Amino acid sequence: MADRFEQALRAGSARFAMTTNMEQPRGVRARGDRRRRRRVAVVASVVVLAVAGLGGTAYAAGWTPGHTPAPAASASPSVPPSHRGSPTPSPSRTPDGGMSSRPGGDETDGAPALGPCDLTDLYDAKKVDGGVGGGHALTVVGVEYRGSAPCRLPDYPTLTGAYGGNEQTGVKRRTIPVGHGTWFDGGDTKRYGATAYPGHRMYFDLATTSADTGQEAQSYVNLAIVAADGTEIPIVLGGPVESTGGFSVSRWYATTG
Amino acid sequence: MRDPRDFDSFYLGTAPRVTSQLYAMVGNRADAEDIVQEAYARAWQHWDRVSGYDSPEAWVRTIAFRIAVSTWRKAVNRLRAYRRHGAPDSLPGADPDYVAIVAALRRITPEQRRTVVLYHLVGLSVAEIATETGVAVGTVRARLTRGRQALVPHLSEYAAELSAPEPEVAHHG
Repeated sequence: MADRFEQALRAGSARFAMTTNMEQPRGVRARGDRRRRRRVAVVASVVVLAVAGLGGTAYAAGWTPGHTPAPAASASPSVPPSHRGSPTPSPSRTPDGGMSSRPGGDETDGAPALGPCDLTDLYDAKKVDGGVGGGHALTVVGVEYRGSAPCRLPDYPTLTGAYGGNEQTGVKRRTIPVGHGTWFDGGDTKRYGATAYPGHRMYFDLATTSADTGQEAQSYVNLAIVAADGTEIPIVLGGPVESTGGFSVSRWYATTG
Repeated sequence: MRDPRDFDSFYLGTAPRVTSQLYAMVGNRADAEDIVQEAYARAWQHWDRVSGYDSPEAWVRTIAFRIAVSTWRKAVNRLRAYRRHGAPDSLPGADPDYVAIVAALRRITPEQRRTVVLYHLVGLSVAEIATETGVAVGTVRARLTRGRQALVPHLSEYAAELSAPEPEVAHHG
């Protein structure tokens, strides 16, 4: 049984509904179509920026707002990279100027096959670079490897983060569901599957989107990299990471630049 | 494939209701109409997906509220203006009780206001509000109770109803 307050609210609202000035459906659809076209144009411009190498950061390999590629997407081989005799610039750009789906720069320095790095030897994980554009953001996370011997960079990082935090539920921590993608910054400086040497830094990219995807934004704080034994290496990001289109990470890479 | 007739039917059948609900949240007719039309434009933009939802109307309402919050955040001065002006814009022919209720709603927090509107006007259950707003059921109950209490000083005529304990507001489920 509705109380008097509720009855008054509903009655008043019903009368209000009868007097609303609504735009014709055709006009609303036209506005929606304009938004749709604008979004396509923005995404296209981001890709152009990426290809031109002007954006500093770029987005490629099937990652679009609201869409997270499957972990084993063809964009990023899920098998370990094959070894070659020497570092060879990998064609990250197609002849027509488009994006290659293959990450540039798989290499092994001509060394015998090394085991993957033990992530418990990682220290000083922090945001070292980043960029935004067209409703997307890319955060470059750098970590120092302090192991005693060279090792092979692993494939993709696993991340955990804290979320929630209202008065009823409190903050919870969980593995962040991420897609796998590959982004490059206009050069062949990224070396995926490369050798990590003690004292050197290794990196991965974290992609998010702030564009309106119709999805509730997900937000995490206190992110950490998870090692094979469950050890968590905290990442200093300077604030929460938020995305309306899910999260994606790149493979670990070293840089030659 | 987006079917315009399908969308037009949905829009014409639900937009006035959603606008009235949003008006109760924002307290300004022009803003409510603009925001709702923007939300429906976004619905058409994603209509191939939105049309498959259980309740496209709930999706539109959620988007509209987000736009409203975003607008408030971007226009702090405007928000201050809202606070300065105690009463909502004039509504020719509107029930004075309704005008008073909307004015009072503007004096409580946006989260409480949204919860009160979803519960008492839209008629959602506590669980449904939790789903629509993405918070725990307990949070919804707390916002509802505190929101009603916060309305009391501004709606003395309904003080008895608004001061009722929790069981009184549990009749929606």
